[in-house]
Amino acid sequence: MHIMSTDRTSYKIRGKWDTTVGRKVVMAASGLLLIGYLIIHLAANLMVFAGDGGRLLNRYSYTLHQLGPLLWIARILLATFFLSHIISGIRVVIQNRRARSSRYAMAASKGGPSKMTVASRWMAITGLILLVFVPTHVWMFTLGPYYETVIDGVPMRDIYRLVVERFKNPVTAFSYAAVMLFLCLHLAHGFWSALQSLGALNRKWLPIAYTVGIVLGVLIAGGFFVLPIYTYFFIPMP
Amino acid sequence: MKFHLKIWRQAGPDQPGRFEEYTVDNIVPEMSFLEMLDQLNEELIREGKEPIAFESDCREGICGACGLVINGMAHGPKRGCTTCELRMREFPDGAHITVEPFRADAFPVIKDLVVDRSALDRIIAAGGYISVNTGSAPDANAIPIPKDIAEEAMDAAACIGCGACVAACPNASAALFTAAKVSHLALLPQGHPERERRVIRMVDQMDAEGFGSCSNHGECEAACPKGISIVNIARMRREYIRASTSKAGARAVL
Ligand code: HEM
Ligand code: SF4
Ligand code: FES
Repeated sequence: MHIMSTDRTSYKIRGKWDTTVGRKVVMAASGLLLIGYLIIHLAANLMVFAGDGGRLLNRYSYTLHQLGPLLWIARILLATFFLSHIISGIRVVIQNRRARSSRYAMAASKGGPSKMTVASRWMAITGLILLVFVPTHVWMFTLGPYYETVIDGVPMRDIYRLVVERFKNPVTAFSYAAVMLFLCLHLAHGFWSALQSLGALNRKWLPIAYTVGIVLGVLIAGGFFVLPIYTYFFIPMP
Repeated sequence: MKFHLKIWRQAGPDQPGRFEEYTVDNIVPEMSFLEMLDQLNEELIREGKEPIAFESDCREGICGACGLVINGMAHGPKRGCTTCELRMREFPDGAHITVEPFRADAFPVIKDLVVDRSALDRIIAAGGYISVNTGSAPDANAIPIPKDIAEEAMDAAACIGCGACVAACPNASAALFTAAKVSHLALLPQGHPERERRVIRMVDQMDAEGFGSCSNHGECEAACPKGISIVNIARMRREYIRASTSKAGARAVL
């Protein structure tokens, strides 16, 4: 290990995006794109609150499915972001553990400018929770039972009914909401961290991005948190 | 003042280490942490025991040799300060103090509290320089540099290579050190001709040494005795992305 790597080993053999800096660029880019998706997804889900017995949500979902191949392209892209985020994440975590095999007897933060929080320390844990959650979530809704409804004479999937039915189950509703607390932590550190990993921050923008990240995390996760709880208590079964 | 110390003792690089407890008395509050250890060592030598190995050179915060982890903090509890500048008045009388070496696989322990930080030298050797012919010093104002840029470069150049950033980082990453070196040269016109190959080679060397990657915890900046900011890490990443996507960068790898 302690040799001059004059042949640029890691950069040449593993490639520029599989170095300590490169992996974080991949994680950051994919993470930000996933956050972009989460915002669109949340905006769509808030249609559950429309109080129209699901008309708006079902028609939105119907329009999406009319896109056909475009929808599939979007799904494949999302899966690619998700996988590259996870793969580089696992590599980052493994390398980091290897870098310090003997632990400190005592470890303390010096505070001040440090950005270390539960959120930053728990990225791998909150990430793993999301890794379990996301496939379960797709299986529950997208791959769930197919109810049909007719809106304005057009037969379509009644996804609204499925959402309300799922969240009338207290175990589903409350565990879903609990996962959102972890999402909140992941985003609270993830947003500013991604911008920092992409080299987008400087003395002026770093503190702004840090605060925006926390606000964004609370808003996005908060939206997804309220949804199952509100549905459980206040939305009648259609 | 009196202190109860728990100090890491390790006979050699591949030997197992353990903590040993010592009590020191008659410590003057103005003594530096290293002077306190000197006093303890004198007592140990008088008793015919092996003194505690620790490193120091300038004892005025400029050489970067003296790093220790004191109560879990690199260079001890005071910010903007090296171990040699830390005074015993920072601790309450009778305090229990734990002293460990910097821990990182890239910094193997040589003995007791002394670690081998030459991995940092190899990162510099990989690209942390500009190639110029030596000769008489050029005229100071031959190349005009805006004051804010000069200040930013000077702030980055203040790094003394102590390795506290690595010690404090939960991932044992050398990102702040490497970024400080990449930054101070990338900011100045003299550093521009070699900027692509510099950042690629230095990052590559950092990886070859087995340092971790930066998770943006910011613990490094908190521990850095020179207050080097993590905005330098963002700049290093910009430089890296720039080099990795440009023709000059591709040539640099060959
Ligand atoms: C909704 C899904 C997710 C979103 C929106 C998301 C977003 C992000 C963002 C923006 C970052 C910051 C990247 C950086 O600092 O460069 C990040 C970091 C991280 N993510 Fe995710 N993530 C998601 C899912 C996951 C999953 C499923 C895992 C893994 C099993 C994961 C593991 C991690 C880890 C370990 C980090 C920290 C990397 C480090 O230590 O530097 N994430 N995430
Ligand atoms: S960046 Fe700061 S902590 Fe790291 S080596 Fe330089 S002076 Fe020491
Ligand atoms: S001995 Fe030189 S910096 Fe402490």
